[in-house]
Amino acid sequence: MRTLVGLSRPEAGEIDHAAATTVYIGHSTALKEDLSAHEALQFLARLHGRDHRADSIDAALQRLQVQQSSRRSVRTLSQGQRRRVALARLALEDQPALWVLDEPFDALDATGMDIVLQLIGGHLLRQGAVVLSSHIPFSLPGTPLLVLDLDARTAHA
Amino acid sequence: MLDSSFALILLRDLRLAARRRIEVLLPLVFFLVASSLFPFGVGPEPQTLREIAPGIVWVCALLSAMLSLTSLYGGDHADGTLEQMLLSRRSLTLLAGGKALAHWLLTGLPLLLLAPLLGLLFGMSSASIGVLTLGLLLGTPILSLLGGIGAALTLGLRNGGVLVLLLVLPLCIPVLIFGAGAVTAAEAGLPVQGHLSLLAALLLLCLLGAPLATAAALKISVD
Repeated sequence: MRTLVGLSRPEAGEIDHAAATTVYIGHSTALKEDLSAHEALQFLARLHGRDHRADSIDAALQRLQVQQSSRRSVRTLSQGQRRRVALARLALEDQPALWVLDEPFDALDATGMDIVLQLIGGHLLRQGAVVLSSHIPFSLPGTPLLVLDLDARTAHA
Repeated sequence: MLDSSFALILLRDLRLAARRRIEVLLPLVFFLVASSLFPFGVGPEPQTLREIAPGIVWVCALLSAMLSLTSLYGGDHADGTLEQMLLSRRSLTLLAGGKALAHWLLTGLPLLLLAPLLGLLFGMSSASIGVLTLGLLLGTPILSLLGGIGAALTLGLRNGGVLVLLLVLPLCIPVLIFGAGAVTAAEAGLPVQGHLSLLAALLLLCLLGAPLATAAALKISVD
């Protein structure tokens, strides 16, 4: 996944990164512990040149149902809350980009997973593509899924 | 303005520092304590102290600038922010420049304010203190810029903290020579312009080259 987004160099072959903008949310959340959830998300939105107005950030946090923690510092948030704040970045996206998500459902509860799946569904509707890794089975009704099973070394639709 | 890569990182780092004031004060306290140890070690002879004062202040400034280097990119590397910086379509060179300026504002600038105080403590003349401060003004940004390269190169290594010292300290020797040399020349009544010009030239060179080198080193470290 790191190779896919361009963080690591491929051992063989080439990846054309100019073809699509990518949004990568890795295993580490990239949230600064000393900032509030709102500030941390706003920094990431600003860094990536996305909409970073205060009310847009609030709306994104609300979408992931962590608006009540938005003024608390990231240090005081639980793993699940941190994951939600990190994933709130997806709610700021409105382009048909390629999302690369490394274990997005990690530390999320069932409600959190549903919200993320809804965001993914919305993204697919605007012709976006998502590559994600997960050890939790999930389903997205009405969308073509390509499953790569790394243990069994198989790919099936 | 707020959205330029340079200002974005600069303001974020300053805001983070404001939330961790104690950590910001530590290098300064180190600077004060380390330099005030010398009179105990060398003896309270005013003449000797006056002679070695420029060297002491410069060496302690150098070491205290090195203290905070490991955390310069370490935090961003550990929590994944660095990956996001690399992935954003922003200039990594400008981001590195912003980081270096933030580091200087937090470690170099306070030293400039403390140095005259130490100069008085060691009985330096006011003219020498002026030259010392001017030298530090030109020299401490070089330490932050070179330190950035070292910090970026040693990211993710187990003994990064020590390694960064071994990498950066030798590079800082010219700064030390010309910085302390300027004060010694001032004390001897010789012109100091040559020393300060060389420091300024080093600063310009680092301003142009160090952010580029840091950006390249960051890319390698994250790979």
